[in-house]
Amino acid sequence: MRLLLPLLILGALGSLQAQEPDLGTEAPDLGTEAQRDAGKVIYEQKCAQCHGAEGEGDGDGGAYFRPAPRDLTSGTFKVRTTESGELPTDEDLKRVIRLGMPATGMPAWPDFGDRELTELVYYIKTFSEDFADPDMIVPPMEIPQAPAFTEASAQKGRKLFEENKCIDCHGLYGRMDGPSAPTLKDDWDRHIRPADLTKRWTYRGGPSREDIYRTFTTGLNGTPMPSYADLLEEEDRWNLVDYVFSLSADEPDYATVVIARLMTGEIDIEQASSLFDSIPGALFPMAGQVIEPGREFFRSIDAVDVKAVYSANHIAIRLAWNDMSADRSGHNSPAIPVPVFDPDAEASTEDFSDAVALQFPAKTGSVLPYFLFGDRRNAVDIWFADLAGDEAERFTGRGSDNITPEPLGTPLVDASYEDGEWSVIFVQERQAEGGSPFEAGSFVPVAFSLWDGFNKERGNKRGLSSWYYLYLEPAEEEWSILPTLQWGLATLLVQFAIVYGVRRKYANHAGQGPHDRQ
Amino acid sequence: MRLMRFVAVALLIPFCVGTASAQYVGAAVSDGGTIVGVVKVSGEIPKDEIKTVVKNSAQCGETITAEKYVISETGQVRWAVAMLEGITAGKPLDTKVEIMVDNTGCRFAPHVLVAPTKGKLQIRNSDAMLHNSHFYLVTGDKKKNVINLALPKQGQVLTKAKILRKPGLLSVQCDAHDFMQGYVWSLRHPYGVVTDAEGRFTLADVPAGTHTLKVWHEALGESSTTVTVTSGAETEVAIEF
Repeated sequence: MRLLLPLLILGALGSLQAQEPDLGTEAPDLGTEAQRDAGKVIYEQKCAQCHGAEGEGDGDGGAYFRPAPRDLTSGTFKVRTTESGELPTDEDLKRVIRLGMPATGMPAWPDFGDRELTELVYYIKTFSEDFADPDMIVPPMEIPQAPAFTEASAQKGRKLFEENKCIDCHGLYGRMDGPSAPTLKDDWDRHIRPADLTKRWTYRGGPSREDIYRTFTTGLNGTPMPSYADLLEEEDRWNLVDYVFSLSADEPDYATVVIARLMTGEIDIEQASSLFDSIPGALFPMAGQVIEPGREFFRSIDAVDVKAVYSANHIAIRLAWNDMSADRSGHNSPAIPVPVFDPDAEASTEDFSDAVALQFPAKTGSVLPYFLFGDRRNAVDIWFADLAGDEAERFTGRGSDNITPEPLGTPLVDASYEDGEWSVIFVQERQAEGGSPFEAGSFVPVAFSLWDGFNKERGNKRGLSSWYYLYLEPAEEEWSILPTLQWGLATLLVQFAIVYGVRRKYANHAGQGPHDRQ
Repeated sequence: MRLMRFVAVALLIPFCVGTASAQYVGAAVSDGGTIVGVVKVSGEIPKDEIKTVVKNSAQCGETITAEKYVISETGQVRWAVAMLEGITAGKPLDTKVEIMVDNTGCRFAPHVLVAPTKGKLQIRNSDAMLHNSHFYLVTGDKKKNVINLALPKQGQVLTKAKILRKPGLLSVQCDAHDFMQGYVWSLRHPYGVVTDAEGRFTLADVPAGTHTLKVWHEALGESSTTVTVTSGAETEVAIEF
């Protein structure tokens, strides 16, 4: 016992001296063997398919996901409450499992109880020896409670967003269009995109203001997103948070119908962009085409915003989407053949241009054509724009392997790219030859296709939507408020009459009152 | 008592781990000798790579040399690192020395440096643009993220202890300028040095005896030689890739 005490003190001192003040201040917690074994059972059932039996991120499912499943042996994790480069805490890992990684292949696992999560985390920690190294265990940082959001704070934040060069990757309005964006790579040398800050629901670290604070303070390990921990005062941090927060709606609010409004006068393609200023857009989700050869598992454009107007003879439809870069070199077409599975095409990112297409049933009828460019019996009318040029093309689709150019009735197109947003307007005759007419008051089925040239998308390798509807709001309906107004006015007049009558009656009584009492 | 013993053992573990990983004991070297060497390439001299500056070319120029092969006409190799391997005792390691990696003109300066493990590394941005210094610990063909620091402003200096927490080769890259590349060798002993423009290096106060001298170069690879050092004498070595 007498010998032990000095040894104890020495031991304690030794371990203190060996450490930097901010390093290795926590002891590793690896759980019990029974816990790790129980975690292994869960892991092999639920996680190994993507993360691999040995945790190297090389499971069978992994090939179809971008971002790829985490290599759990790397000790590198994006979402943490610890400093840049550090291991996550157990709570950080549990959080990611529980909530998933938004807009990636990592789903949320809300049904795991805390016991299962704990066991799973203990097992996951066996993949990287760093979790057992006392030198590598660090305490989490405190994320303060967010002050209330203010517009003034967001305005200050915008300046900080520029000064601190967040715009270099994310772009001024958060549409990923910073000059550095196209060259970004992750720790495994895979191309990686900056977050689209206009879509808060896709933020990997979560959408709350505290989440945003944590993300730029700790950085995202394994990605180019660096840590701003040493650079900003507390107040500036919240200003920056508020600017980022102001760039996005809370929810995507996806639509099923685009409402085209009737306008007076004719549509002039030259002036078309001003037609849409005061019209609310309808947002549609875009998926990768994974059904037919030319599969696109990694589509980069996740949503398209659509607006429409029509006049006596024309219809104008505007599609807008965020794109990291305007790819105007090379060419594109819906009819370019693509190999069966083409994850790492030999093509360069400059071979194919960005492109967009609208698709309608070629004939009005009760049967919808197959949404992948139609089928043998039911053709689709495709309006296509290769954004390397300034002219639209028209195709008839009878399946994605049977797309023929349609020389007649080509729509006009006007495309522009600004601050990370493509805006493409098609103008077409409402009664164009070879297409179904756009009748006022009708619902016209419509589907969208987007090609990101940077992503080597062409032909059937594309982002697409299923069928939605374009509704041409009829003229009468614009005035449908009139009968309501008329009835409302009439009711009001009757009410006035009644009130007048009652008041007159009451006034007579009031006048007689004193006499009654006398 | 059993509990006490357990606590004692538990408390001793970090101590043991600490001493085991320290491995190097520093003290004044009285019987030391010097290793003087030169690093050369034989045969054809590889040309340095030219990288296209895709961003901020107004400040940094249209192209930049990678500093990958900075080799004289006679084959002497700059930016190689000569270091002793497996040395456990020798002159003290100064962990207080100020060592800096500067981001200047879209390159890391110096391109290669040697720094003491557990020392503090300063990172500076001398350019009026965003740089980020992304450090990785490199083992074989694997690289492990160490830290990723944003440096958005000119004149900014950050000091971080954790970069040099572990010994080994650190690669530093800038995600904002993907053509930028630097290296830092974190060594837990003071016997490591970067070769100069003539490919020369000097390791002084090396304890007399037989040592393993390792020479590393980012593209030429590694080479190990056994060197015998005699007290008060210079030992000359020539390393050829």
